[in-house]
Amino acid sequence: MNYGRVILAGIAGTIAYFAFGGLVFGRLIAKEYAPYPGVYRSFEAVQSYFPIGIAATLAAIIVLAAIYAKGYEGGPGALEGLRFGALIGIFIVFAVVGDEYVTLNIGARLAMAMAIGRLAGWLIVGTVIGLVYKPASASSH
Amino acid sequence: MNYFRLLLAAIAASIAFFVYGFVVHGWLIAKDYIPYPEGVYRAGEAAQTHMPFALVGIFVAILVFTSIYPNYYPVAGARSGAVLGFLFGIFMAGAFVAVNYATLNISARLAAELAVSELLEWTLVGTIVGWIYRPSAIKQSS
Repeated sequence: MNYGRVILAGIAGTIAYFAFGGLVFGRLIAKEYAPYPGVYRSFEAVQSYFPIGIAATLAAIIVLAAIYAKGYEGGPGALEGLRFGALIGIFIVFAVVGDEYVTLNIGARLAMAMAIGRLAGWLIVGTVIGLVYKPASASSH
Repeated sequence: MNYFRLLLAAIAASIAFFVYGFVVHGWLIAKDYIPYPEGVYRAGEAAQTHMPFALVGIFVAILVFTSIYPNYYPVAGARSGAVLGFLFGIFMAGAFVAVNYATLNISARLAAELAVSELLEWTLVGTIVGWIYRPSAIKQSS
């Protein structure tokens, strides 16, 4: 496994995750969160917790890049990454959004918007990981 | 890919997931959800009516996890399953619990308990998947 590229892929994936997340969750569907002030922290409060969220997400995406690297057997990086991102996206929609819809006081509309947003987000993260990660032998050429 | 074993592993891991969830979330740390009865979390009856979504959702998620396992960890066995499960646990603690801690009105104590729980839960799922899943005989012999 090319550890340098794993870290690099994790960092690139995290940047893509937050760029996409800022656009979709912070702008496009931001109004869908408004009816649930008891569930979610205010915008101002979230800011003070943001460093924890960024650090933890970076660690999570580096781990994701390591899982991808462990199973990478060659082939076009973008396509392999897209496939991997699709699997992770489906996993997140069912394990996380499904869980949140069941346990949190939120409506089906917000859950649906989050499911679509997260599926697309992890597709992008997977693709970026696939584009950046190169096995040790390939990256030395 | 051995689809029969894959399905069997996903069913067994889902059962373990729910047993673990009931013991940990429904019993061990249940009291830590109490400060949030009406605001953040659904109350008992509302949560129960939504429960089928969780059952189906977790089963599909574990099915996805199980389908990732043979592709990314071709050496079958409880140990390699536990490794993948542990990695997924870290991923879930970071991408799910920590982000929820930043955005949801929950305490650091509950978030820490949920993070540890994710780690243990997915390691358990991975161990069971690795233990039950076997590659198909054709692939094994080639």
